[in-house]
Parts: sequence; C-alpha cells; structure tokens
Amino acid sequence: MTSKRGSVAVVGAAESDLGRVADHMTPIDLMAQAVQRALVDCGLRLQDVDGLFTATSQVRMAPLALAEYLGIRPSYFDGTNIGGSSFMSHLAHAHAAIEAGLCSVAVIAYGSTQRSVSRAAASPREYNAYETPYRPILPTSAYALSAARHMHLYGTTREQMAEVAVAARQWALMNPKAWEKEPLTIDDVLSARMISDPLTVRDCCLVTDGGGALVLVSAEKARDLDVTPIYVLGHGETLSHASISSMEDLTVTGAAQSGPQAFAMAGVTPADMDVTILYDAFTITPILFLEDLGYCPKGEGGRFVSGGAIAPGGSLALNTNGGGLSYCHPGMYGMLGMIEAVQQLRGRSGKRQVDGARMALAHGNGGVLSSQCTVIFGTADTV
Amino acid sequence: MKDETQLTENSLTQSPHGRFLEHAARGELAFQRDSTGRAFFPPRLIAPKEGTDPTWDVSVGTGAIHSLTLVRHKGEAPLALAMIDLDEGFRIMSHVDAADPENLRIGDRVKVAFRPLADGQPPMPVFALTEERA
Repeated sequence: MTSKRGSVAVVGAAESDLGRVADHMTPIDLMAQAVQRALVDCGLRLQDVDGLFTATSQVRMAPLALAEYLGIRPSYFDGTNIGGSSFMSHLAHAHAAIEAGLCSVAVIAYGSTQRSVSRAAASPREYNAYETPYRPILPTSAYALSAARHMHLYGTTREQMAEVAVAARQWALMNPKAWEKEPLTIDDVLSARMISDPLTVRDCCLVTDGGGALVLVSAEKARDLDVTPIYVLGHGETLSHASISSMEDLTVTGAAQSGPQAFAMAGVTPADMDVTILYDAFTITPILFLEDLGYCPKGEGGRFVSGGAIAPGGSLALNTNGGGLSYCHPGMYGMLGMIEAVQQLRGRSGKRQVDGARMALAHGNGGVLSSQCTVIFGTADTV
Repeated sequence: MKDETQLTENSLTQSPHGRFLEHAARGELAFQRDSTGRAFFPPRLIAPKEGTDPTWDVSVGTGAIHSLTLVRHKGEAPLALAMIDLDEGFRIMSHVDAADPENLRIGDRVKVAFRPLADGQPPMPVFALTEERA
C-alpha cells in the first residue's frame, strides 16, 4: 500500500536565519526559529504539534534535542539521517504517519551552523578502512569521480557543468536571501581553484549556516486553516550505497528509482513540472538528476543545461532560489529545496516567481549520491 | 592478563578487514566471491544480495582505471585518486602512482603494488601503469 496522492498538504513553510548567523547560535536554535515561523505561517500552535521529524549532522539525537527545546512530547517522531535528502524522506514518512492516524500535525525541521563552527566540526566523517587512507577530499572527490566518468562516457564538458553554476548565480541574484551577490561567468568557474578534478571551488556548493521547517497536515485539516495548502502529490525514495567505492554505476543515481516512483504516485511527468528543484551539491548533480528523473535521456544532461536553458528565461525553471551553489547550503540542503518549491506554488517567490506555477518537484540527495528522495507538490487545482 | 575476548565455539577469530590486511602484508590483494562466483569488495561477513558465506580469493592484480580525480590537498602535489576495475570484476578506490598524473586517463591499464600510505600504517594496495602509452 502506498500513501494516497494529495491526502496531506504543507500548510506552513519557513527558513530560519541563513548565511552566517549570530555568534553562539546552535542548530537547535535555528530549528526552533524556523518551527515558530512555519507555525505562525499557518496559524497553528506549538501545542498542536504531535509529530516531529528532524535531523542535522551536529546533533546525535536531534528529535530529543528539539522536543526538549520546544517543550513538547510528540507521540510520533523520526530522526532518520541519510544526509541532505533526509527531509524529503521525513515528508514521505510523515505522509504515511498522518494517513495511519499516528499524528495529525507533523513538523519537519532542520538547522545547521556549519559556517560558524567550520564544516570539519559540523560534519566529522567516519573512518573507512578502504577509502580514508587514500585521502580523498570528501565529499568533493566522490562527486569528481562521478563527473569524470560522465565526461568520459558522454562527452560532458567542464563548460557544461559551469553552466549549472552560472544559472544558479543568475537565479540567486533575484533572491534577496541568497548568500552570493555578484555575477558569475563560465570563465570564473573554469579558472577557479581546483579542488578535485574536474571540480573547482565554483563547482562546489556553499558552506553556510541555515535551516528551515515545514508543517504538514491532512488535506481535511488543511482546508480548516486560513492558508493556501500545497498538496503532496507524490514521493519516492531509495538508498543505493554509503561509500562512493560501492556505487554500482558512477553515472546512474537512485533518482532513477525514486523519480519514477514519485511520478507514478502523482500521475504526472517531468513535462508537467513548472518548477524543478534538484539538489546541487556540485555542478554535476543536477545534470545526473535531470537524466535519472527523466527530463532528458542518460548522457544528455550536459547538453540539456547548455546555452542558458536552466537560467532565468530559459526552457526549464531549475533551482529558482539559487540553489546550494549560490543561495544557501548548510550541509543538508534538501529542506531549503522543498521550501522553495512550496513558496513558488504559493506565489511567494518575489522577483524570481515562476508565473502561475502549479506543480513543483523537489529532489534531495544525501551522502555521496547515496540517498535519493523525490517529492512532487501541487496547488489545489492539481489534486 | 584477563582474556577479554571470551570466544565461544561460534565466535570468529578474524574480522574481514583483518584477513584483508594479512593478505596485503604478503603483497596479495584479497577479495571475495558469492556462491555464484561473482566478485565483490570490500570484504564482508556475508555476501551482499545473497546472505551466504563468501569465499576468499586473491586477485591477479591487474585492471584498468574506471574513474580518476586529482585531489588537490593544499600545499601538496596533486594526488591521483582512482576507482580501479580489477580484472576479476570488482572495484576499489586506490592511488595511481605516476610521475605525470595529469596524463593518466580512464581506461589505462594498471597493476597493483603494496605500500603503507602513511607512517606506521600497514601496506595497502596502490597501482601503477602497466605499459607506456603511445
């Protein structure tokens, strides 16, 4: 049995402070700030929350820490941590929990202070006896190995990957909350400091603080609130490996499984998406996900993004907030991708608003192309 | 001294990684096969997808570069980090030792050697080109 298309809706969505937050702020401070904003957004109170879903790299038992901070005793909770896609997974699990009657108001929350405390401190890596001694710069080298293989097999170029960074920057310049404020060119990306060939520092996501929260309720409950509900039409998720050495095919991700699951549940296709949010941890990742989710054939992703196709005014509205590359990347970006999808469908994206957006896809990636989770949202008239 | 292992009749006396290192110390690249003969890596107590007991084997040590990145640690020469496809059909992360790492290419044929990757560490497999490229 799968969850029912459109039976739950996002009624509240909010970012926490982003970028470089105040000194001594904690990940849980940011989660709580976002939770409060998301609850105000939909007119619900903290006492209404009975489902809690959260993860962060900086807190070992995030649901405990957040429940204590909020002063609530949730009857249902999920601390699944599979990296940056955790929150898409939480949303899918919250959907099932609400349908099963295990909770009625589910809050999904994230917070990170990785810029304030340094990435090394925020995300210590586990020792892997078959990788760590070889000193990869993780996660960058893992994505570089995927990119190099994609270039070898399909003729994808560094310029095509740079297009992803340049388009993200153009979108970011229309987002007042974006970290990056200056234009970026293809040459800037190509000539930037190389980290792990073929990826330069401009092919890599930002290192920022940040967080966010979503409030999810049943469709019936959503209709009683004074909000524009954004319905959950479909989702899919899968795990394929933990270490890059064990990825079966470096150029095919689990999105090839999560995407078709989500589209089948929603009964729609990539062509129906008005807004597409693909986790851009590195410039190669949206290229892989465009292929694996079915926006273009395998191997065509580099050509697909060329010529400004995913920049403002292009053929596909992709990563309209500026993405992890230029807007905000606190380490587990998936939450912020879903918030942008929801805000676009509510018509709240300001200068970067996609006119009349009715359906949006948010795809999350975690680890080293390891966990892949896809969510499709729609406005009331799509249900 | 107190025996803290308290091994029972069914306890294992060696971990998969322990056995791998024992082979590596002899200059052997050990890997495992499942009941169908399919090679896999890294070593495990059970064969993935099957759940059966794996069998151990030793690689001939030849293969090809499957993918490659030059890792740029600050203040160091670029490090050639590669995924190597061994001819038996399994893949591992390793280094390719080369005077000119910029000239390494995916598909290049390589052969295994063993050396410690840091002071005081046990020997681990690394690779070098088997033939000069034209």
